[in-house]
Amino acid sequence: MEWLAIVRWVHFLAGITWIGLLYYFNLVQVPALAAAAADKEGPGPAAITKYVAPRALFWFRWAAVVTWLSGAHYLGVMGKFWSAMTLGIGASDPYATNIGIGMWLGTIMLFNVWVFIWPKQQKILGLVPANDEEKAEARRIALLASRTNMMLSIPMLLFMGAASHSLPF
Amino acid sequence: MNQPEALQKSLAIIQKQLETVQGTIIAGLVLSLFLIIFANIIA
Repeated sequence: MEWLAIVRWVHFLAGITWIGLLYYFNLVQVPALAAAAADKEGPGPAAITKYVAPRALFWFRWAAVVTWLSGAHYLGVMGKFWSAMTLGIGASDPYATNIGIGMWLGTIMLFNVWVFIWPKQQKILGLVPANDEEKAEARRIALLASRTNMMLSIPMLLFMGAASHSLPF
Repeated sequence: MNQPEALQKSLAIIQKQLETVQGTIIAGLVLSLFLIIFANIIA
């Protein structure tokens, strides 16, 4: 059995779950919550924040962990972890340069998920106590961190793919 | 313009870009271009 192929498969599955939910938050949930709050005759945003957001956040944050661990394990088994960390500088290794840039972007994104997005979302959703002012600040930081991750995901996916294929130029 | 001032202005520009989905995608594309050039230099 080819163990690396299984690890790569897990990395893809978890990565798609993570980034898919990141795009769901940015492209669907954030504008939907704003529209629901603005629609005074509608059902309001409560159903989204009570039933949808906690489940989406559960899969989102744990998929991020599985993606990073499976990716790091894959590079470790290949003996490329440290050369990727150092972006292949001095080693003339385009694979390490490309996967390394992707890995650093993914690592920053994982940091954002667990240090900014999840703690702030816990305040927004009322899972930890917070007053209105703290909630407003949490909303602002969570949105910016989520948007930062969406921005970083664009080059991250390019460089992850380019490691085994190529960059546009 | 000194360095902290330039950094603050740059961060303000990025923050403004991230206000909208369109701005976020444009920022991601610009960052991709910058990183491609960077990768070509260090490779």
